Amino acid sequence: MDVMPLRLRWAMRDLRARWLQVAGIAFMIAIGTGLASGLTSSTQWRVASNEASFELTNMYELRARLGGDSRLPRGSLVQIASGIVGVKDAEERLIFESQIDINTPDGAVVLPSRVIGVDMSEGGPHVNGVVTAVGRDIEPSEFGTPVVLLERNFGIFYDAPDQGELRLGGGTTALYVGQAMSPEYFVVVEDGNLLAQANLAVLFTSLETAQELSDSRGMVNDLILTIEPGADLRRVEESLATEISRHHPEVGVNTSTRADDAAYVALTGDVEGDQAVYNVISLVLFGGAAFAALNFAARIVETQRREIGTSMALGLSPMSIAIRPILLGVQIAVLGVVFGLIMGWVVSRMMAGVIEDFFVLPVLSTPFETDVFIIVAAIGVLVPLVAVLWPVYRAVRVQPVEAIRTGHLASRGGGLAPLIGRIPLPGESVVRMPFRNMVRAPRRTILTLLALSTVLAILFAIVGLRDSFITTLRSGSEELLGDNNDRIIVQLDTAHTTDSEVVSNVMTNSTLRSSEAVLHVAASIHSTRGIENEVRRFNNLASAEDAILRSIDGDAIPVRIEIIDFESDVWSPTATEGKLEVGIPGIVIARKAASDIGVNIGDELVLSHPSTADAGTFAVSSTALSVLAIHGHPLRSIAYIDVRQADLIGLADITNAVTAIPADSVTLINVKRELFDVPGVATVQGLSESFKAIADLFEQFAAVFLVIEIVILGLALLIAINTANINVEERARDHATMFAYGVSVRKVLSNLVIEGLVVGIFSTLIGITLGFVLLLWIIHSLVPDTYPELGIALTVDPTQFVLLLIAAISVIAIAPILSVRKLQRMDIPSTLRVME
Amino acid sequence: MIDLVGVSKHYQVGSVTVTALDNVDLHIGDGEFVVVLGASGSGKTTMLNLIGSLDKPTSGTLSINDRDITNASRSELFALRRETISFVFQSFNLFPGLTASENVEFGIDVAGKGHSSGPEDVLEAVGLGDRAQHFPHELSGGEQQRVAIARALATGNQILLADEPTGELDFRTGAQILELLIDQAATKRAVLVVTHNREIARLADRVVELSSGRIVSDGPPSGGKTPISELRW
Repeated sequence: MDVMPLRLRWAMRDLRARWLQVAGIAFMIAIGTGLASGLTSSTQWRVASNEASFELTNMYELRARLGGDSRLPRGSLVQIASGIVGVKDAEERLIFESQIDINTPDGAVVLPSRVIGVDMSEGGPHVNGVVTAVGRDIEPSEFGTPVVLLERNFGIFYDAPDQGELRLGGGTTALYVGQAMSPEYFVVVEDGNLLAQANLAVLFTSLETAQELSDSRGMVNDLILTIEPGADLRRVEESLATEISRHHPEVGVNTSTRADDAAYVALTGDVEGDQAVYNVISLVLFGGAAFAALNFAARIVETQRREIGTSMALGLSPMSIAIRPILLGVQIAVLGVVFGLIMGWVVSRMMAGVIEDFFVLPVLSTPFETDVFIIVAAIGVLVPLVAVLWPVYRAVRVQPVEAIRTGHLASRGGGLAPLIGRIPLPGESVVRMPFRNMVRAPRRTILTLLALSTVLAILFAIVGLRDSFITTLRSGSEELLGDNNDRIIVQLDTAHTTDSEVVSNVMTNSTLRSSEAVLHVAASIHSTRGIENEVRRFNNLASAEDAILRSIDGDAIPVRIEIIDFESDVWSPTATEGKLEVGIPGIVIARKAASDIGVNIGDELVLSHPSTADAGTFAVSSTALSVLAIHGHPLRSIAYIDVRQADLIGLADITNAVTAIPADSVTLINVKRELFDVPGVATVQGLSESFKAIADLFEQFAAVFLVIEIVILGLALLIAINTANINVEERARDHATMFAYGVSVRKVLSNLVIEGLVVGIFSTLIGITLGFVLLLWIIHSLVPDTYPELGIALTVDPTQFVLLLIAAISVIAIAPILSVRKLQRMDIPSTLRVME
Repeated sequence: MIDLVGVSKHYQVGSVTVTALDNVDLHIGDGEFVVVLGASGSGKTTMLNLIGSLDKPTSGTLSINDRDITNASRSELFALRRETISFVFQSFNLFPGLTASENVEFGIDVAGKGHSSGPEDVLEAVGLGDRAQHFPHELSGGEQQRVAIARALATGNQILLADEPTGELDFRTGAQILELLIDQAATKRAVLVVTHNREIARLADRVVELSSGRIVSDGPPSGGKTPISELRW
């Protein structure tokens, strides 16, 4: 006998009878599948867009920079490269730091700038292409004239016009004819800081123009190249460094690969990190939906158990009996996937919008990711089916006589349930009912708790992640600004003695109220032994710094030592642990640095640093120093030494920067313009500007976070509504009996709300715990891999946390109120006489 | 105590009007043990629901304790049930999450009359003093129905309505339940038992027989009131 049509009809009636619950579970599955497919699509797009953009611009695989201010005649570096086996294309560049003064819709912007001169002849550059996004390319007739292209990220951030005028250091006025993209600046990363376009204006121009602007006619200082397929990158790199040093022993050279490129690392590393977070979010949401589906399916199957028993008595096989409840699972799965595909499409379009707004890439590809949707849809189908199979398996295992027994719906509860049920509780019997109902069916209660708590875990993890990032970044800005929001850093062109005229001119400038000469040097810290002292001498500080950075390996950490006055009235760091002692030789490092190399206050570490040598040259030395204190900045690379101890590391009486507070009633822009023209000044930067981009970004993302929070709370509400609906249906006879005894609808409803409240409190507490574990994993495992420089302090804003706590509990507690109509419209006599 | 004057109840099923009760007049006084007898569809449960204020008549007047409740509000009906009427159901309708003692306590709490005896005493009175801490699923059918009666008694309400109270029980257990119900009439309660079982009707002070929504007979059982020991099921 073909029973399938009957089963199908029956299953369709089950669907009609419980469409709200089926739709609820399906919607939960949909959120899981939708988010998974939408977010994973965005990862695919980012990977594809990155790869296509790097390929289109032919990003370098190897780079050689000359140390300090060294320059070589054009052609000499390419000639060396052409003699090395494995080199494919090589191009020379001239790069120099400057300053920019540009008008934007929000007013004038004066910032540090980097001019990159490239060979634009014959459609070049052919390595690290420059793609004009708006405006036009530089014409060959403009080579050598002050015509440049503005870096696109900078242009977008400051909403700069497509074309216009700008002023460079030295007072040269240049014309920018467009805004362009190049792989090293697809994202602007400077000193480990992302979104550095707020503080750095990169300008692309012809090699000839760069030479003119820097007064280095015919000279270059940078080489980028690609290698032949199959060539050994490391070998080519070693040969290149060796050959340049052999041909030009007077210059230092620093080589690096594409894998070292900050923009490349940020773009590709971010994708992996983000996808890991997406996977966890999707997995947990799927888990929540699976628990909810399991709970729902188990209850449905229990209500069908008498019918299952009857079918057994009539001789139907377990497989045949199982078809009906399984069909319910299929309905949930199909609906879930249909809703999920719609939601996935919506999420993916939203993500496409975010990607198109956020990533400045010459190729942005956001097609419909069919393969991703197919995989996620398959998982979305499997989750409810697997969730239904377990209760079905349990149901078809029981003896027919047990299944058809009257009162079988009175869940007995196994294990400790009867014992817990007898624990005396205060209050009237009606008040005790919600608690008794929960312990009567512990499995159901646990499944409900798990479904809600997994969803809430994501909410708390996301909120915790947001708070931790915001607090970390805010602590960084507060630490660097102290009490002076106007503090500025004047970067000098090179190292000078503290009593030099250059330094004196800056420090005594009338726009400054107070100032202090400081020294910033690249160095490295090691837990045991540092870099071997070198016999080699370097012509300038930058070359010695390059040598140190090249030698970093193992557990050593690159740092930027700031030699400052710990008792300065301009600014001094905050010691979060230990003390800023001025009389004791030592170093102040970041908490992250201390943890990474395994030292604490009072422990000794080895600092490898440049030091002054004979006749104005520099050497590389290693000095053991004790850790005096931990400062409050989250960046691992920042370290401080008191100026009184500078002699200890051979860097006394030299400076390459001035930190200052502007005079009263002098604006930052005026200070910048005034100092712009002082000889020896490379850049002037207000420290508060450094944080503007990050603050802007978080402002943008605040709305996204809010939407995520609302969606997740909505999901929790949906689960709670579904649970309340099932409860009301399942306990209809209890409620009818209560009504028959004169218990008011309000009282019954308040009982359901109390039950919801208890479930809400427990699921929120479990959710917080799970969310905290998730947050710990993200912050301690995932973030350090993606952002090793950043020491994230796990923080949750207490106000936000309490509000969220109240919102989560309230949402779950109020869900039963939506069942009030069902209670009010109950046909009491019919319900009282219902025989299961 | 209970007065029905010209009470009718009609239901609309699609385009068809079904008459469940048709112009019924009935008075039940204190301490009466009344059995309402009738075949399926005769209107006996409808009458019980109307007396229990679970439903409203389409026409006629219904009074409880000389108070006309025909047009009482929903909240007045809830209060009436709390303070005046108790129910015993065929399938017991005990709260599965509460122990026997707590189910009885529910009756005490709901009525809010400050019952002098506790739930254990009431359970003792129905012979279940040793089962107070058991959950419904741990009790037999007869025990569950006795708990249901104890719950109804614990309210201290004057009217006890029982809808097929022995319908799910065997003869011996059913007889024990009926004995309990008869005892209640002796305490000045009005006890109304709805059944289709003519044998039960022999125990009653008065038998009201319904057919097609009308009272076809009202008076002592034919052959007179019979002791339980003589019942044949």
